[in-house]
Amino acid sequence: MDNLTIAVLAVVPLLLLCQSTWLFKDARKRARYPWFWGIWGLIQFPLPLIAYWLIVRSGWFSRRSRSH
Amino acid sequence: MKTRRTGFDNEGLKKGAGDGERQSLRHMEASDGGAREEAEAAEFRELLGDHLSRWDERMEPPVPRLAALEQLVSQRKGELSRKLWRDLLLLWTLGIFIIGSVLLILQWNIAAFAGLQAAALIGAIVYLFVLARKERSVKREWTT
Repeated sequence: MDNLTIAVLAVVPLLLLCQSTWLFKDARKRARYPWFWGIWGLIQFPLPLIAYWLIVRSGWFSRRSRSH
Repeated sequence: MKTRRTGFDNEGLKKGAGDGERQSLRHMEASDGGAREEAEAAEFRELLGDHLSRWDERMEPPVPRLAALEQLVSQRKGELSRKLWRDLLLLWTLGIFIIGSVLLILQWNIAAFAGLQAAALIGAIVYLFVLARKERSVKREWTT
């Protein structure tokens, strides 16, 4: 195992945990399915953040669905 | 009869009287009315005052003290904070398992890792789509 792999193995879990925690806390505050966002945030990066931003924070998705 | 006559007399006086007399008449009427009201109030107090004050004392609602309210708020805040930490601990425990499994899959087979990522993405999109449909149908149900 080289140094790069070790660094990735150290950084990636930390990044995923931070992302998941932030998503969980924010979604919990807004009552927007915190467990879904938290678990998805543990598996991928940064798609859950982008999707959360689009769907929950900016309201873009809900505005679109309301206008249809 | 008495009041009617008094009224008539007053009217007659008002018709024949000048400005100063009219004013003094108005004062007399007002003082008469005030005295009558006071007498009625005194009579009312004499009859029901004690009972009413006792009833008021008995009906006095228990007003919570500020300290009790503050304690209630801080207790509720503490409960919410404890619940958040419990949920976060659960999420982090789950996270360690999930991230560990994903890394193990990545070490084992990169194609399986790619398949897992694709499955997670598709699952999330489908779940979001189902949630959006459900929310829309609930909104429609409540607005129509």
